Amino acid sequence: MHKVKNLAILIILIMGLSLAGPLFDASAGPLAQTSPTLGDAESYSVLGGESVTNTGSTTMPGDLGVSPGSSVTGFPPGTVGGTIHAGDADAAAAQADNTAAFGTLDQGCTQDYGAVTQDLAGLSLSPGVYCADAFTLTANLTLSGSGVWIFKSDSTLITSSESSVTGGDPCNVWWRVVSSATLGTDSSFIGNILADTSISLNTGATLDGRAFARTGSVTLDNNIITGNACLPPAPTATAPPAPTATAPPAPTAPSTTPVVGLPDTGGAPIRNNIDRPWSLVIVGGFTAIALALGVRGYRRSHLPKQ
Amino acid sequence: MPSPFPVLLPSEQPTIQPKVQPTPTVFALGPLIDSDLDLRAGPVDLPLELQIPSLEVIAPVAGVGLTSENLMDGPKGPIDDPIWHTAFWYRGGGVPGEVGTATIAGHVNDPLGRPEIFARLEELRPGDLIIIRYTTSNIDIRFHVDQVKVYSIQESSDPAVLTQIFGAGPVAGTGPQPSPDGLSHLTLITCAGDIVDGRFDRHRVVFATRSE
Repeated sequence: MHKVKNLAILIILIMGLSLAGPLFDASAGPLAQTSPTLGDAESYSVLGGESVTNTGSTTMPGDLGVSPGSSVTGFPPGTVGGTIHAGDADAAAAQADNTAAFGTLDQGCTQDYGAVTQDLAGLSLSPGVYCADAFTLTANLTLSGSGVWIFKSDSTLITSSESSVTGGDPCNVWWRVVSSATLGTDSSFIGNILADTSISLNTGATLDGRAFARTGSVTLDNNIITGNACLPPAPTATAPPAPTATAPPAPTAPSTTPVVGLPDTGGAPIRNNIDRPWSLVIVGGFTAIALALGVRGYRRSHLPKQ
Repeated sequence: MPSPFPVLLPSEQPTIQPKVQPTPTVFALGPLIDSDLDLRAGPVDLPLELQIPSLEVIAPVAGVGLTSENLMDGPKGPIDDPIWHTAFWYRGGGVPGEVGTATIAGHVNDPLGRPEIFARLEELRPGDLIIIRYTTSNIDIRFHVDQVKVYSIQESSDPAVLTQIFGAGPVAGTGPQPSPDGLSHLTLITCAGDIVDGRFDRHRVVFATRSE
């Protein structure tokens, strides 16, 4: 009797859950989540509100900017693939578009963890809008499938040392953080972080994407920022003048984008030659010997002989 | 090892002055990449290896394109990623060993300041040997250094200077062209000087010509 009753309860539960499943299916919802357009902020890798401060050999492929503040420190030794815009009109326009994108990211949640701090470690998440009071990451998060991911934190995003995010196209992964974001030392992270206050990338953290802080600071420390594929192509510059070298009549050649400059190929300031002190010793030694021989010769020829 | 391809003129053993020969056009070494590959796409693996014996450099070669600012790309990655020890052949330029100009860049150091494959390019002297090995056929293309020059950022934005470095085609936007002198040229590029405004302010360029 009990067995049959329990079995019936089990079957009803299973049926109930399988019916409920499609209700939570994001693809069945009225509107799928969409990536915001970044406009003038699209060419930026890092954007700060008050300041951007760097320590060590940080690199990034795109532009670096601050607005409405104007303080950028640490470049060099940091290197920037694009242009540094410290408090200028370009950075102001980017910050305005960053603010607009922050608003656009406030889309309906497909998975609401509730008013809790949610650790994303060990999860494999398909595209969707994930909401929580705060997010942490203490191990690896896998983004599976393809599409748009939006993570909405009502306060902070904090990842632990050596945590990681794998999978997902960095151009379509978004972290909307109402206060501040911190990436742990030697962690690796994917996506565009838009924080209303500040962003800190701790020592050695790598980010495949962007870091935009609206009002506070972006603090960097020996970080490698990539996300090159998410940057826009440059507006077509004025064509270079025809080369002066006489070229043979060319066969019908495909037209390609002209190259206008040489690559940036280095990771840190170049150290000075350290064997210089030894060459000074050698030169000094020879000079001393030559002087001694000269003095001896002078004495022989000029002093009275005994 | 016998010469792997027919040579049109009797060749002499290179001594101090390697004999520059018109490049045999019996067969082509390229193409190295799919012609559909966009110049904006990221680096691609190539069946090439760069050797600079006097500097003890042996490096794999990747094909690179342009950055969003239309500069030749010099890809970077996390610390200890092999990209730092990789040479970069410009996909918009000529194939190494064919009549024209092939351009290869490499990092001078890594984010920790440790020397990388092109840290000692300044030690190269005229006549020094550079080899491009085609790894699928084991063909070695040998070049000898003509000269080593250093350019400021302003100089290296000058189309006349860029034409010497890349050949006329990539600078004019017409794709790689055979060189007017009928020879096969190779240029190596790396950074030098100081970091100013987030960028190195000088480039060191090695000019070389194919010797056999």
